[in-house]
Amino acid sequence: MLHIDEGLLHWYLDEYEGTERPMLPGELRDAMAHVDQCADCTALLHEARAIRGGVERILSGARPPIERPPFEQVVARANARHHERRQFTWMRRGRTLGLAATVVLAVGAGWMLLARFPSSVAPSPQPRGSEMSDVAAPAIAELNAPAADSLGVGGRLGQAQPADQQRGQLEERDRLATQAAPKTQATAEGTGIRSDQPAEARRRQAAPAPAVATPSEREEAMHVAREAPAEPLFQDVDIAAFANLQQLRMESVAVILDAVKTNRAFKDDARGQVSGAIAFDEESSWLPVDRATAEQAVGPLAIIPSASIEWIRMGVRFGTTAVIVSQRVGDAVVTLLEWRMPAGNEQAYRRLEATPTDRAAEDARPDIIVRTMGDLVIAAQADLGPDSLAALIELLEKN
Amino acid sequence: MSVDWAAVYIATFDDLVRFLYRKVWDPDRAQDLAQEAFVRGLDESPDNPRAWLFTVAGNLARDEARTAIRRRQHLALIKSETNPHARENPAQELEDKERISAVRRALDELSDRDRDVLLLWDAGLEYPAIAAEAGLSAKAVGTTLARARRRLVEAHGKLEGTHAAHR
Repeated sequence: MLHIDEGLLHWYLDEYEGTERPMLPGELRDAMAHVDQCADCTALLHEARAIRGGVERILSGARPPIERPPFEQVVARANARHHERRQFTWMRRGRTLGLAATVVLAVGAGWMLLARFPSSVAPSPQPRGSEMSDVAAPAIAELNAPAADSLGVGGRLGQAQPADQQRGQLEERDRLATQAAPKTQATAEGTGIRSDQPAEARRRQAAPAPAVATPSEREEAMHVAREAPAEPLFQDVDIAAFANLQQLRMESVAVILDAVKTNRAFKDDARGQVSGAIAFDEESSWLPVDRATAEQAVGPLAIIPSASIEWIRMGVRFGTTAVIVSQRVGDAVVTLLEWRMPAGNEQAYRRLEATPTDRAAEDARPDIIVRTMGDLVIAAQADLGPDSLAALIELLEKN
Repeated sequence: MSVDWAAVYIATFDDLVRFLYRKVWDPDRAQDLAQEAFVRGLDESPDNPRAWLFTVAGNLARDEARTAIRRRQHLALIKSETNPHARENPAQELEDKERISAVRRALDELSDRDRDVLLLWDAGLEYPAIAAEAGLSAKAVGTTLARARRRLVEAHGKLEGTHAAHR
């Protein structure tokens, strides 16, 4: 005889045990009617009850200590989140404007550079081939075209291509010449070119003088090409103007463009500054921001005086806007994680509150120090000894 | 429909922490994530706030698992400095750790779905809510729970047997 499904027994035990039979859902009512008459199913029910009790016992062995904070604390945290969201909305708008500004800058810079160097896009003059037969000329011109370009017939020496590329083109020209020899041999009778000459020699005779590289010219070209800079295009651009453009990008647009990186890129970027860095791995983005934006969000930053700022990033830590400031002190990079606790959100604060008095823990981990300064919590990490890092933090406290 | 979040908070917070704890195995983090679930809940007006909170908590725990390894270093640092749950009695603490570890390993023996359903049930959710959360019928919840419970008891029994043999 078929017995009832074990799942129905557990459903009954969990939801309806002790309920009057007529009150049970139809499926369960039928099942329990069967259990009442079937010894095997009754045994199954007892076994299910025992297993259920066993599970309760097992799970009760892993109950966490729970301290329910006041509900007002949750509300305060939610309010802080609202506040952050409004700020980030403004940041997003700024980012959009920044992207638009980038496009405008790029177009403007391109237009300016093209206007200044129109020759860089002028078409190359054709090699002279009127002295050749109509049939041979295109083939020879084709063979010589790359060489003409690289040797200065079609453009300025060393201007358009890196050295390696130019060398490669010369070698490629030789290879093509060897392959094309039979093709030119058949049509070369009327040109005075001997068909038993090597391809290189025939090219030298057939091609007009300015378009052909003699060995010395070629060596000279190779020499120039070797010395040509890797990115010679626009090399004559006003360096100061270009630097200004890059400077502008660094300070405004590039910072904002960074924000379109993935979170992972941010994390890797931030973590790359200091190995095993202070928990930068929250899901939220740590946006690179300028100091004014950071201070608008979290108030005046605690900065180690006389140390240059490498970068500033803003994100969320324990539900609160936090700022990471990276400063260079000599050869070391000090990373400060700063955040202010809003009233009522003591939980995260409490975690760090006791730290300054816990000297043993500080000694055990010398590259990280946590300080609370009023409502400001600072976790500092650097590849420095504890004394040096503590001295830097003291500087912060004094200021 | 407006939700009386204060009442939901009192009725649900502890269950939520317990549910999260069995997923992240860090009491402070579980409390933090439970608060985070409520913070998000205050922005929403779900029809069934309790079930909604467990859904959000489940997602938070999943996200947490992805970054847990990287975060562990830092949290371990902070915990070692301020651990409020440190006990006076080291022997008792060791025993607690072993017990929790056994529960954790036994739970790890279950499939993801079985474990989720079991933890939702243990957190006090009723079958319809569990069914909605797990995408099952009420009867299937019973079947899943039956399987999960049996496996948990077996796995835990094996671990205890091994542990006793070692002692």
